[in-house]
Amino acid sequence: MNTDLIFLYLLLIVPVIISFSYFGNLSQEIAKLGSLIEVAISFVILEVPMGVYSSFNINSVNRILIISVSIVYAFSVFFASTYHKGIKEPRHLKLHYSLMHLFVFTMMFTLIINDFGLMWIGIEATTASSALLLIIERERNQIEAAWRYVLIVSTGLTLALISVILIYLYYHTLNSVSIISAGHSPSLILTIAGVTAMVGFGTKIGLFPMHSWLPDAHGEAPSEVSAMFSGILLPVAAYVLYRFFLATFSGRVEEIFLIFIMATLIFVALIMPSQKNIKRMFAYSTMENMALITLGLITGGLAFVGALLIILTHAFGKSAAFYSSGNILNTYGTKDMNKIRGLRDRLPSTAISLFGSSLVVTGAPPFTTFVGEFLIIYQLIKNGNIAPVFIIVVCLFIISVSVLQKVSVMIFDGNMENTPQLKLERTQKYVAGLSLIFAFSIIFVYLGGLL
Amino acid sequence: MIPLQEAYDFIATLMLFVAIWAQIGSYVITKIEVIVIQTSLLSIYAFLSGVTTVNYDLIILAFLIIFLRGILTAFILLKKFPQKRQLVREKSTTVPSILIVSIIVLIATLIIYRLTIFQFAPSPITAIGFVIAIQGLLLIGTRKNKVTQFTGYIEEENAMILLSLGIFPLPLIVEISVLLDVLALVIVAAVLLSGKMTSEHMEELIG
Repeated sequence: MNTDLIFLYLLLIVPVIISFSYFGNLSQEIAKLGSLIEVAISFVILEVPMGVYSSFNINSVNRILIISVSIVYAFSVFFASTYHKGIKEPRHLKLHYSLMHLFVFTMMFTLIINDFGLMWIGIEATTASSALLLIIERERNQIEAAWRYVLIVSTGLTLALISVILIYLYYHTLNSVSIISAGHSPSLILTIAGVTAMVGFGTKIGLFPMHSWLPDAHGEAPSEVSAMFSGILLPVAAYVLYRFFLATFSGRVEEIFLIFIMATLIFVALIMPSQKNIKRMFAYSTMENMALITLGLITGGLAFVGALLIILTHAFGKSAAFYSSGNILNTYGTKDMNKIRGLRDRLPSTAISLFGSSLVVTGAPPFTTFVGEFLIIYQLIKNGNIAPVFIIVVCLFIISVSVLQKVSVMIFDGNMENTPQLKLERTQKYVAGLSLIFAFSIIFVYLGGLL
Repeated sequence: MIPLQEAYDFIATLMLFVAIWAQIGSYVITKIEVIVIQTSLLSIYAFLSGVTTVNYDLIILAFLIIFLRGILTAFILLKKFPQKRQLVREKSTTVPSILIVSIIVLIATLIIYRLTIFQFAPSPITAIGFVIAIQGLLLIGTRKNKVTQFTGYIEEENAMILLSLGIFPLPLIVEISVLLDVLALVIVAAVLLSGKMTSEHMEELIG
């Protein structure tokens, strides 16, 4: 067995092994160590040449996603170590960690597997492993959000299975690399497969109108889980949709994708100004980012590079936003933005991470998301798609202004100079700050030719 | 002797009738019966198919379906209900109108199937699988009771397996089926049983 393949197996085995920490007393320490090992392995895999390795496949998109999954996973493990101190039942916390490891295993499996059927299985398994992560505190809202999440997503994914069946019917194989590299001529059966994949996986990605689970689950999940959902799970689903798109590509399929992406952007632009809940606001922002990532991936050319930049920046930027929201929830005891004031004086470090991450996720210049969006728009103009460009620019402007206005009010409004600062665990501050630094640094990594 | 294809068609048609029955009933116990009966029919289909084609995967699939989906899921669900579970029914339901909608959707689905997928998969079995999937979606979308919504999910699962068996056994069919069942058990055991039986409008989940 060659060394590259060994590292791919290690990438999958490490989270599975550490998930057994549920049966011991050192689950937190093992989780931290294990997540760091996973990060190290993911960096080694960055050096693995692109190609097919037994049942696995490494390409330009999944190697970047592997990095972002492992780092956000490590951040989330460290964040959870102090965030859930209030939980009286240690058994629940141990289970929470174990499920986080299994959740990461399912995402890594989905990313590297070279078979459409197994890819579908991987995505469905992410739902099974993550559903229980939502209900660690057993609150009524969380249980309702978890119910909506599993029911809507699994129903959508069941429809995506039609796409797998139709692809097999057409190609008589499910090997993704062979199918994509062989090429195909447009046909009705592949168009139907492309559309069912879009509806099915689009449910998981949060494309309008199948998105309804997303704000509920992101809003009610513990903050580190929201970060994992938004920062890495949804891009993994977008990657799967992209592979299905390549297998079913035709002008008609691309048009249908474009319609749903535009509808998502318009919907987010309409609903964003009325948001009151900080986590739901960032959840809707995730819908916007996912729509752009999907658009970049299917457009190709420079837009493809733009999508990769947004994937990486969004993973860390949105995680920082959710960690910051978690810090606010921990200290203020509310997610209602109307009740959160004076962050600048009361939680200065969180104010910085929240403001910085908001700039990153809304695509403010000169951050990498802006560069990514610029590349996508440039490629669309080059392709002659002027109308979508107009819709994108208007929607992005409305969404950015809405998010930044709400965040600015929470940070700068209210004179709290004489009020003592609120206490926050150092780990939580550092994780939010570090995640933001990672988001900032992507552009330098890109310019340095390391991507 | 009954030709094998007719036996398959008969079982699939029965599954479709059970799907319609799920739309009509407002008693929650009916929904659990729907799960058991439809799953048993699918299991018989997979078993017959496995025996006649000497495909051991399908025979394993038949046993897994009946055990995980038919028995275990229904058993856990039944434990949620009190002694007089026969009397538990959905709080508000517009069953007569849903039935009409259901029939209209059924006809529309068959027409869409005939116009699109039929040319690649000209089999009544796949058509029925497609129709049951849409009926499952309808059940989820039109009802608020969680057991009824869950029944819709199981119907969809059954439909997908039937669809795949109708065209030709998809590779990984056993793995896919097991995963769907595991997810169903997660839904039932961890989420459905720990919350209220009706989907709620909550202030925090609006907007």
